[in-house]
Amino acid sequence: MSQQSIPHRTFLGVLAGAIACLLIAQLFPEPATAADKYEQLILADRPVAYWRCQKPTKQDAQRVTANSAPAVKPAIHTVCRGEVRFVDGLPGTQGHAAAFDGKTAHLHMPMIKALQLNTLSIEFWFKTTQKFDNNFWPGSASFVSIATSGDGTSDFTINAASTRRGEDQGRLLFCTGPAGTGRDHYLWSPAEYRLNDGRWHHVVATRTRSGVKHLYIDGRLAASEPDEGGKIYNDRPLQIGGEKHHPGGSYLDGAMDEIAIYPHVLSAKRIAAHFASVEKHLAPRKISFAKVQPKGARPVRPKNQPSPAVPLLSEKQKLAFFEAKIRPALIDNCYQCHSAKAAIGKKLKGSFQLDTRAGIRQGGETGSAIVPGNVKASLLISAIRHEDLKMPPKRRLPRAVIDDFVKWVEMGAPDPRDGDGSKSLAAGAKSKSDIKAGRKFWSFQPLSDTQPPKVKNETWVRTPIDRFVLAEQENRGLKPSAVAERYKLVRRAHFDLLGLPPAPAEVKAFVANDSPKAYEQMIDRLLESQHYGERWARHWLDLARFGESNGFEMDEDRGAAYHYRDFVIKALNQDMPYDQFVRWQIAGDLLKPDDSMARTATSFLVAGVENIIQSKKEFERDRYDKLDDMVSTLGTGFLGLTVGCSRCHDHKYDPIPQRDYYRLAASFGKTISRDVQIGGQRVYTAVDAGGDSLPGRFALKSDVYFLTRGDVAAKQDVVTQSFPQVLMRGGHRADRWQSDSSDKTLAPRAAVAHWITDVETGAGHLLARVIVNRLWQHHLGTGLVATTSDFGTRGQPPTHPELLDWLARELIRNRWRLKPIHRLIMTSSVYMQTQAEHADNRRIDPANRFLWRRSLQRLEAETIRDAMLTVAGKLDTKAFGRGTLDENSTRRSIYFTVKRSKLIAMLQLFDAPDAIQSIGNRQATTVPPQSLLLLNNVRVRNWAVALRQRIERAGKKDLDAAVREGYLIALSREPTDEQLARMRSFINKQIADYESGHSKNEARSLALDDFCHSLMCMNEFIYIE
Amino acid sequence: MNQFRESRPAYLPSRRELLRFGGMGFGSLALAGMLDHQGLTAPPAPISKTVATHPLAPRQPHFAAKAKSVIWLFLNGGPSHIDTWDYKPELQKRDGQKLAGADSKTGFFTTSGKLLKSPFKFAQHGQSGTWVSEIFPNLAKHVDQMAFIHSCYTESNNHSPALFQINTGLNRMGFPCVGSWITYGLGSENANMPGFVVMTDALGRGLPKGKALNWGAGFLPGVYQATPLNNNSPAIDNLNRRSKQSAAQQRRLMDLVQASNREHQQRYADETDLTARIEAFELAFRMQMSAPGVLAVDQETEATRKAYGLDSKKCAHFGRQCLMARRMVEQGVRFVQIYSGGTGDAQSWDGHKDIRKNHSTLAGEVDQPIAALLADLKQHGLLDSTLVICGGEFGRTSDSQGSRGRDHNPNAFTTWFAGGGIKGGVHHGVTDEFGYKTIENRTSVHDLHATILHLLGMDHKRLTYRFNGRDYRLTDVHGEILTEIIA
Repeated sequence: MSQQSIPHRTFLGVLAGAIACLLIAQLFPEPATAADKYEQLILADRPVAYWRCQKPTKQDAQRVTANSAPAVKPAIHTVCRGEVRFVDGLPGTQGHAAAFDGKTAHLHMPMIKALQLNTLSIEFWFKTTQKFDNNFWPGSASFVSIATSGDGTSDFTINAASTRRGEDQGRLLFCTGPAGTGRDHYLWSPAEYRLNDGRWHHVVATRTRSGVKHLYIDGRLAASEPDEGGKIYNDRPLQIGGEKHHPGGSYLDGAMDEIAIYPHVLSAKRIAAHFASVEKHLAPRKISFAKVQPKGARPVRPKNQPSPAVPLLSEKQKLAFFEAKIRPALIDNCYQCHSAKAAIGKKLKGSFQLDTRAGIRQGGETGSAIVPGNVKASLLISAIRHEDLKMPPKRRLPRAVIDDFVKWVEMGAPDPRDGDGSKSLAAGAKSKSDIKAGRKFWSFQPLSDTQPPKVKNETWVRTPIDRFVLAEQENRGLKPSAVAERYKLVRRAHFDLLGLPPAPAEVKAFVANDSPKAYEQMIDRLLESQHYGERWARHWLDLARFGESNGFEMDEDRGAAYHYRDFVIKALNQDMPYDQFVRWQIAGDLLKPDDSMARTATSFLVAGVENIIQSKKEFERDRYDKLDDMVSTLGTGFLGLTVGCSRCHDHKYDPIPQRDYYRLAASFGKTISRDVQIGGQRVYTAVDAGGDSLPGRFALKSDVYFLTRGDVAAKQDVVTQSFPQVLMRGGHRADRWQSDSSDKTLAPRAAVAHWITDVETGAGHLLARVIVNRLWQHHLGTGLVATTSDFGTRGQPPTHPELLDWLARELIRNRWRLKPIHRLIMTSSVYMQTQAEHADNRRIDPANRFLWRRSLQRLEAETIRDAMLTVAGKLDTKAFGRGTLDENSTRRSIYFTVKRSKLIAMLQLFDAPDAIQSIGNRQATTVPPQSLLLLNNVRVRNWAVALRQRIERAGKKDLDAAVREGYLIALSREPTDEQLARMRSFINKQIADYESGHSKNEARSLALDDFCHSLMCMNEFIYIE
Repeated sequence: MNQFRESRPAYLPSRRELLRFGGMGFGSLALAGMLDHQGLTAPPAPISKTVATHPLAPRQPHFAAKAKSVIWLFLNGGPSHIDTWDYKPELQKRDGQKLAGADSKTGFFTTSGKLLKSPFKFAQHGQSGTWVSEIFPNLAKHVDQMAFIHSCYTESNNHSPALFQINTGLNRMGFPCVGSWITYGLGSENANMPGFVVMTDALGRGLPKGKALNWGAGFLPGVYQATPLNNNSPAIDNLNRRSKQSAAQQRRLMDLVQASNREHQQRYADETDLTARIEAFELAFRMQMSAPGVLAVDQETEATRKAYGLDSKKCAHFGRQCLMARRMVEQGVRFVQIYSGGTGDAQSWDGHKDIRKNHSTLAGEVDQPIAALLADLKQHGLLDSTLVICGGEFGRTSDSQGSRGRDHNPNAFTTWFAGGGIKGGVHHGVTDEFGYKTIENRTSVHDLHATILHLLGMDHKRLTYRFNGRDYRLTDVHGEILTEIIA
């Protein structure tokens, strides 16, 4: 049994050490007394095991708890584990009942042959008041179980359960997982039965090998629904009274008595009799019983009545029925042996291909498969009913699916599939010539190898970057601006690299330092600061749509997701080569399984939203949404390529056929999110599911299908991994990247990591272009390609294509290290310019596309807040670790927990992203609510007060000195005389005003608070030149 | 047509080019134009190119609009169409019988497959003879103003995806909602108030599932997301001045900031963002002054307050919100959405266990206030320019869940429109005899959205926004306008 989205599964092994006392159950019945009519009733129905739960005798505390049918051999040894107590038994029966403490107590019995049953009845009495508060269903504790891990892995359990956190308590769940079906079948007691009422309740669960399941409660049929049939026994121990299936599960807190297992189905009459013999001894109870119709093997349909689902349907509706019901069933169950693909793979069975209309009508060796409108004459129907020919051979299809096929034949077997089947394999592909032409687009071309050009104004040039920029300017008659004043440079560099304002001492020291090397030395020093990683990780987290909750209805927390944020900070601080940074985020767990950073990095893939409240109707679509989230984020984030546009059709503008999308998606078919132990810590990250199916409440194979129009109801063939063809150069196919240098086959994600960073024939050149452009964007305000996450034909072309390629080559030459690129950009004249007015330049290039001056940049949300905390002297520089949602936290804003339903209001107001899709280019809106926050928010005011106190602590008692210090702290400069006078006048007026209600000292403090407050509201505070 | 929609640049420009609040010379005249109550038939305000780039400046629609504001009364949790507006006599007759063709995948849980009759009595009302459930005695008087769309369907049977779909068109997270698209398309008409306001349950029962993403702006600039009104004071975050500061003292502080900013701006004459921010401070100051007045329902007459049920324990909370909605629409707020009910099943219209108890309680909360709102809008001459929408995220099953409840039904639900541009008393679309599935004029969520935009004068195919390389629409690649319900 497995439960949906429960990260870890600990199973029975955990209990091995928990043996508290040993009680050997004996096989032989104790003599039945006349008083115990109940026992006679049970034994008359020939149970294979019968536990009476009697208290151990003094002579032999090791014995008791059970007796059983004498015929069963070898003996059943039932062991008590944990603190099993023996309390008053079920009224009207002899002896005691077993009471379990909800902690570890349970009965444990090794499996014996006689109990390995596919057709069986399980009977017991219980009473409990237990409630479950699990995050997700089923919050449960089992009464009787032989649970295994995985769905549909041959097992069963009967649980006390709740369906949701705090809701729907007191239900009972009879779960079976027939072997080979890949799914667990859940039969719930109806919602209105509140069985955790502390009263004794009688339960009988029956099941036949063909899958008919009934659940009787208090003598009456309460629920009935078939599973898919097949084997449900295994050789795991039988557990009674609570067995913890998973960390969210519980042990039973309650009592059980008179437990019996029968190798056959008890009749409703006998069950009623068992209950009735005890009922008279019980207090009257009020459960309103709904009438439940047993659901047997064959749906009962009154004669002479048309099948309910075959009303008059239009042709369109009929074809829709085919697409919704029949095609997926054929793909899932039949194509493996009966399709064009099977034929190619020499796996075709019975010369029968049913992936085309012609094929399915014509039939194979055994003759025509369907006769439209005639169910009886349709061999296919007989075969799937396992009447004569049995198809699929190993297991019968679910009844609902068989019914769908019947309906489909009755409605004339509408079938839109044309052609010979092989066509569908190629359907939707853009032609080879499209791809070939597509490769000519600039961003898909290999990096050019242009040398920095010659320029006239050599003295302006500090780095090769300046040559590219200046050459363009000279071509257009533009003149670059002068280097900015030193106080501006120090502020600019600090905000750019650290996201924090410089301390007054740093400003003074830098302004006073005449050394020609002073600026470069400052840049080097800032690049070594821990705050560099905190600043630049935030840019990356935008791209990674990083969040710490699942989103959707419940928005469950991912308490162990913050490690990814720490990974990004650490990787940037240690200047991890960018190609490695990328590879680890795609497949770190596979490439470096022993490296904790590598395994954490892979969290990137699953940092997006995930809907874990799923319904039967849409779990499969949810799965393709999850795949899309990974593929789209990878495409736009790493490659600036809108791959996600090809989910439903060939890309309308870029050379990315729909098939390329699905083939790339196939790389992540097994990828799931999990909390795993890494270096002694719980870390939320991505791993590959073992086997061919994905864990979860619903059966899902890890195969990825080509979906027509992106619709899960329109599955085509299973796709195999490949990469966007336009980024496979040199005539190579996917296999070029699917093995390593020593010819060892790589796992699919490792192959993606290999291809995406391959600068020879893979996507490496585009990868380098995209990241250097992002660095440029954050340093200069706009990327060389303005659409930083769209390098396709709908994006903007680069303003300086040669510079872009030169920078990308520099990155690769520097072994993909980012810090040398930061240094190169920041030490260039183009970066160091001032924001100057120049009428001629303005006429030629009003938008400053050719970078003839500096543009102001508004700080991002986090930086605004961090700057206020810093000037207030309140910033807590503690790095790493679990975040918080407490807005009073004084740590840097990157350490706020990103809970998708509870984003930090202040950050949101200044355009922090919502962590749902990859964002390469934040908005910077200007709206009144931001101003309201700055004017009235209590935290902002407290920071202003703290700034005033900081100024006082610095010993600036005199008003002018206080104003000067305030300017230096908040704006990294001294006020002009005019500004000083304005401030002095303001403060004096406020003092006079406040004095009417406050003491002199208070009035002065309040007035200075207002002055400090005004500094934080100034445009100069958040717009950096 | 303004360039904001018609010939947008080929990529999303930076704030420098698009999202600035004002341009050079953003003066009192332009500001006056922006604050002006612009009638729908009035000529476009003389907005210069630079000023038009304020993201909330009022903008002309694509064509003559039927309505200029929207009030969306969201019955959250999945109200049962067959117990409210979609009367099914056959269902009443065949209570307990098997529902032919019942599909166990319809609901979120498992239903019985057996028909459950409505516990409510229905009667015909108005000239149109519309059948109305007894739980809406007040709304029943307004049926001739309502257009009922009985054939709505949605894609998900799960709350949060269905809520996302009805609000954003897609059942995934993170796309812009209808209100955001509309304020993006039309701007707002009162700069002293947010353009798009949402109100959630005032009884502390929580937010609808999926929470704030239901009124988020997705990839649209954040300025287009809803401002949620707090149920405690202040109604808008940071609206109140700190008590230690007098208005004059704060004004002096503002003046100091503005003087410093203007001086700073002189040095950067081309940086229009700086001017925009100066104006934003002014507007904030004014919003602080005027918004509390707009929201002050105690300024209404006692008769009005009583009409909305403000004296009634069961519906005062919703009545107050409806009355605030009218006051806001009157002041030019573009889009108001009010959620009825909270998070949990029993605290919203999610009648899994007992449809009678659940729906009679929640209907009791909204019936009088919504009826009063329709009457009040009419009395103020606002009904013709205000589109009123009422409905939920999906309907409920015709077969029972448990003995008295109904499960989610994405295949059929009813939404009604009233007011601006709506033909009253019409019924669009039909469900089958039990209300289990829509059988005629199936109406997708995209169709509803296309119709809403149309009524507001916008072509849903032309209202687009470029994000990550793609031009997005509210209606994705779908949407048919329901001409049948338009007057």
